[in-house]
Amino acid sequence: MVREEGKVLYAELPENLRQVIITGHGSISTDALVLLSTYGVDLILIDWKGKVVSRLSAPEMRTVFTRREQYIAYKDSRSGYLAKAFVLAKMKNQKALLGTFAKNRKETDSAAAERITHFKNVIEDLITRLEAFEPASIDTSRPSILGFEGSASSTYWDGIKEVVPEELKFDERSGRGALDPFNSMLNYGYGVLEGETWRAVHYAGLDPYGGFLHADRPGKPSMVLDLMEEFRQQLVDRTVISLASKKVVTSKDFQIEEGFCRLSDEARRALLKELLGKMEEYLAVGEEKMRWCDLILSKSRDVAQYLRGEVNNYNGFYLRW
Amino acid sequence: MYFLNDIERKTLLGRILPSARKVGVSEELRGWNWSDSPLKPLYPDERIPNFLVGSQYCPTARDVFVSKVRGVRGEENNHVRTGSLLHKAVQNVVLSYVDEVGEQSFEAWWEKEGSRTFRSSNNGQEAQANQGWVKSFVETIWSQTSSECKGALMARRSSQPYASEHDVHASALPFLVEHKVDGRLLGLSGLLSVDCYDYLHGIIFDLKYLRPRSTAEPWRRLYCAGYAIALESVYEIPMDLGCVVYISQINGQPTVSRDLFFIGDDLRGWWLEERDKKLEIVAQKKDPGIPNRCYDTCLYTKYCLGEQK
Ligand code: SF4
Repeated sequence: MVREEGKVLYAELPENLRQVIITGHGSISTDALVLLSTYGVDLILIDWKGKVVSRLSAPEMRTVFTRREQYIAYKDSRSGYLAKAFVLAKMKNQKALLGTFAKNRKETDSAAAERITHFKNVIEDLITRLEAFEPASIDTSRPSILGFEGSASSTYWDGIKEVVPEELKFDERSGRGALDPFNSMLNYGYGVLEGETWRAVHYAGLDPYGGFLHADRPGKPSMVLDLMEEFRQQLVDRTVISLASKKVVTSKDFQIEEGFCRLSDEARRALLKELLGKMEEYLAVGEEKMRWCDLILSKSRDVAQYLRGEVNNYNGFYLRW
Repeated sequence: MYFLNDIERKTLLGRILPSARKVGVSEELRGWNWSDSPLKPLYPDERIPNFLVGSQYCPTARDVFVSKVRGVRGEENNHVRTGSLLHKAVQNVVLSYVDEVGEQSFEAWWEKEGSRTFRSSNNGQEAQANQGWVKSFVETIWSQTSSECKGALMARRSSQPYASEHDVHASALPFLVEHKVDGRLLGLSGLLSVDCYDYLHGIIFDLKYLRPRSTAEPWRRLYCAGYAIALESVYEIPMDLGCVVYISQINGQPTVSRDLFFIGDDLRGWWLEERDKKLEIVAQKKDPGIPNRCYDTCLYTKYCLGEQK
């Protein structure tokens, strides 16, 4: 139950919830925490910069076997294989998104459409080259895989720059601590995606910190960051670009605070509503239809299955359009 | 060729149709949304045939550049000749039953079609050496198709004694063969020819003559996907089922197998990706280059590899 000044704003049965996201100020009772945990509902706290600052979830449910394999895999070729699969899927999604934007702009701004098509083609070429790359263990393969990833990403953001309204002053992609409205929306969106991916990784029995592509660093949920690579474009980028293009969020929704660009509460709410709505939307995946949130969970389970040796391949998620 | 056997029917009813109904197709990927993204072609003034969109023989798609930009005609070979004759034979037999003309003489047909194909071949000796074998191969498929049609008509007549002759034919052989459809809304040719469209069961058939030892790769489904989207753009009704009919030979014996599938989002998305890539090659006259390894019986070998030397 959510209350504001004694008035009930929202009430829901715990079995109907998947995750509770706390953003902004407020308090939560310990009874509510226990209830959420009993029903396996995750609780995450995201700050205004889009950083997941806290996460509460039910105790582990899987055996240690998956995690043990995850650690062993770091030293063998499975680590390079998975890192390549994550990046390949990411690049395919980048290419698809640019392709869609180029088509949409063909009639209204054919010069921009051509530039975007050029960027898409550069990524396509990188995809072909990465496909031919034979990965070994991640320590050996990381520089090459990150090389492909870096080139594709800078090309991708050059393409995205063409579609972001000028007033949002997007110049280049910056991580935490965005200085412009568009980046701060992306960061916030990635924070939400990180929370969802974290939940999925946890329920698949994986260690959120034991990633492959992202190097180990204290406090860095590398496995979560690895897996979310393939969902960033279709889930977050597309949503943020759509809100920006439809002018649901404009430059008025931002202010500079502590040297960083801060989203207004309304803009954050609008973005959160869109993203969470999207998580509940269904999409066709092969012969199945599933919600985006279940897809993330399903891909986490695929990774765990691959690590446990139950299947001998892992295919990253991507959409062709 | 276009009649499903018991196992295929069970697969259709028990797996493919329920899955297709449950999963569905995204509205954006239905052919009638041709004027919106992502179906809208990036180069609306260019056209390519659907077989070039689907074909994955050339790893770099240089076949599109060579044929559409440079205007080179491929070298005909025995495989292409056999495939084309098989298409014509099946079309001829099915049409003779659909049109209520009945059984036709293979010899008379071969005299006209088969001999002409071999006479007009630009590779006289190779063609002549194969003529006998091709003739008996095509004849087997001819009589198999004829028996299937006859059987279907008899079964229909005996189960519906009061049906008119027209009704019997239209329901026992619900086939539009070599059905012409205009693909221009999607950047395809105006004169696409669908091998067969089963209008009662909503299945788009594509006939393929498979080289010995080659396998039924998933990309061959792309052809049906393209026709499905084109038909949807014209008729505005959903086209969800495809079937590639493979005619091949095992121990010299003609063998027929069918790959029946749902034309879902994945396949449609894949087709779109191919169409966009290939339309771009044509529109920008972009030579995609020669791959490391060419398809060994490619029709353009002489042109591409000769040029490279
Ligand atoms: S010869 Fe090679 S490059 Fe040329 S079309 Fe054939 S496969 Fe492609």
